[in-house]
Amino acid sequence: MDTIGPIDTATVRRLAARNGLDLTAERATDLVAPLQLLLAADEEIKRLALGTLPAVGLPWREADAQPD
Amino acid sequence: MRNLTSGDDLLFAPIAEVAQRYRKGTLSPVEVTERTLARIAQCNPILNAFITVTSDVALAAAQQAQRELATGVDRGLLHGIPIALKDLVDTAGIRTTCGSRILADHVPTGEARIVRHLQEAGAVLVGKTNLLEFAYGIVHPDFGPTANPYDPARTAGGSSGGSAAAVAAGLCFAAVGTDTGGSIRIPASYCGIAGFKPTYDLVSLDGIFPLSWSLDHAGPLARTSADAALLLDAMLGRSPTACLAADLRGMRLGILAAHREGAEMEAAMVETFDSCCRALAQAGAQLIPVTIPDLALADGVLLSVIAPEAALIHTEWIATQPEAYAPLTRQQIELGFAIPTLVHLRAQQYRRHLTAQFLHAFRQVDAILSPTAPWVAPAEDPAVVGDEGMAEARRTAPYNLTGLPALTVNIGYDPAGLPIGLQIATPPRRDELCLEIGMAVETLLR
Repeated sequence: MDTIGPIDTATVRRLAARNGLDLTAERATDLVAPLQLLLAADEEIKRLALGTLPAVGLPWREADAQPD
Repeated sequence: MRNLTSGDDLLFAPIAEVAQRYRKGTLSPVEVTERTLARIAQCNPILNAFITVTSDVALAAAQQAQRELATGVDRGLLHGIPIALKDLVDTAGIRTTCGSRILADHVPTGEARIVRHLQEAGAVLVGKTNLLEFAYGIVHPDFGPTANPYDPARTAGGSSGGSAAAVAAGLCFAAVGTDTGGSIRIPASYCGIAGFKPTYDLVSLDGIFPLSWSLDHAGPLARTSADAALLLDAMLGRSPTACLAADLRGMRLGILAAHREGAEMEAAMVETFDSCCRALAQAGAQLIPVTIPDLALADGVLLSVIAPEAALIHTEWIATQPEAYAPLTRQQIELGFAIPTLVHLRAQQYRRHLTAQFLHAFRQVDAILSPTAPWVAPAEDPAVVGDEGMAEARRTAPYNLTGLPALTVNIGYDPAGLPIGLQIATPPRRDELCLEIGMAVETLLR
């Protein structure tokens, strides 16, 4: 499952808490809009279907060998 | 408006010229350092470019350089030249604040690797420069903003604004900055100087406080590409030696239309960029349109990489002393805790994908050109999070995501006299070519 549902204050608090940060409702509310923006961008990245393209190391090393 | 980009002509001279006069005996490192410190005393109250001025350290280094040069010990062209460091670069015995309350009294016991290299090159450290808090959020109110030397009512840019303003105002000959989404190139563009983000991992980040380790780069800011190249040499532990401008005849220069356009672009930026391109064509360069198919997705990706990495770095402090951060810095760090892991991983994957597209474009061209920023220096730095911050970094951040070298050089001014920068990007490890093209552009437009 790769979806987290609509972003609201409760969702932001839950996501931050998973990473060890307790946010007040007020502080979590301030993060709703920027998080929605990032998740919208992520939806576009998903459409690229990058599969198992490596996500570590220097970005150009393997790409240099196979530039397409 | 009061322009602080002229004054004591000696302090605006090219580094190679000052170095030559040292060796002829017509000028001494002590004299230049004293005049530099006097100018800092005069201008820093207006600019707020320095957090710490290291007068005693500077004079001692200048005296040592003078003794060494007099006895034939020559450490290269940076020997006895006043420089500055962004205040997140560790300096033993000299406080290193990161522009934060949290580290306001932090005095490192060791030097960053690049500082050791700069000392070996005989450079004279005149101070530590102002920055956005931890190079990330906003100016911390304890330190205040850095003013732009072209118009002190405007920002010098972020996050290496202190370094850019100090260089532009003749408070040092060159300075070290760091760049995670444009933090060398944007302030350099706003302040009318050269700023270079080298290939990722070329310059050591050891002893430099991180913002986002997979995107951070350290690099030089100087009044010209030639001076930036000298500082880069020294940062790498190489003997600073002069390099030559590229021959523009037949050079294939890619024009990235997506970065020339955009609703955010001020008219003067486009006009000046186009004028520069015409001059390059007249000088014999081939201008070739290039496209990067998925470039538009870069906007939303930068923060999905920076924010979780910054959150990890600040985990302890954000839990124990959140009030010590400026409000916006705190908010941006907190955002990193709420970004799902898969979002971060896909953003990292996209970087590979984007890099492959850039490398494909570099099959046709030697370098890619664009305006550095969409506008001249604004009154305040925009937040990283939000439309304005995204627009400000739209042309610089792709080269952090890909790790490709990118340079900004001044190519003109808007009708109000505010500087406009040209960005030049080259393939990985072609850092010298990038600087040589910068030198050629500066020579052409001089």
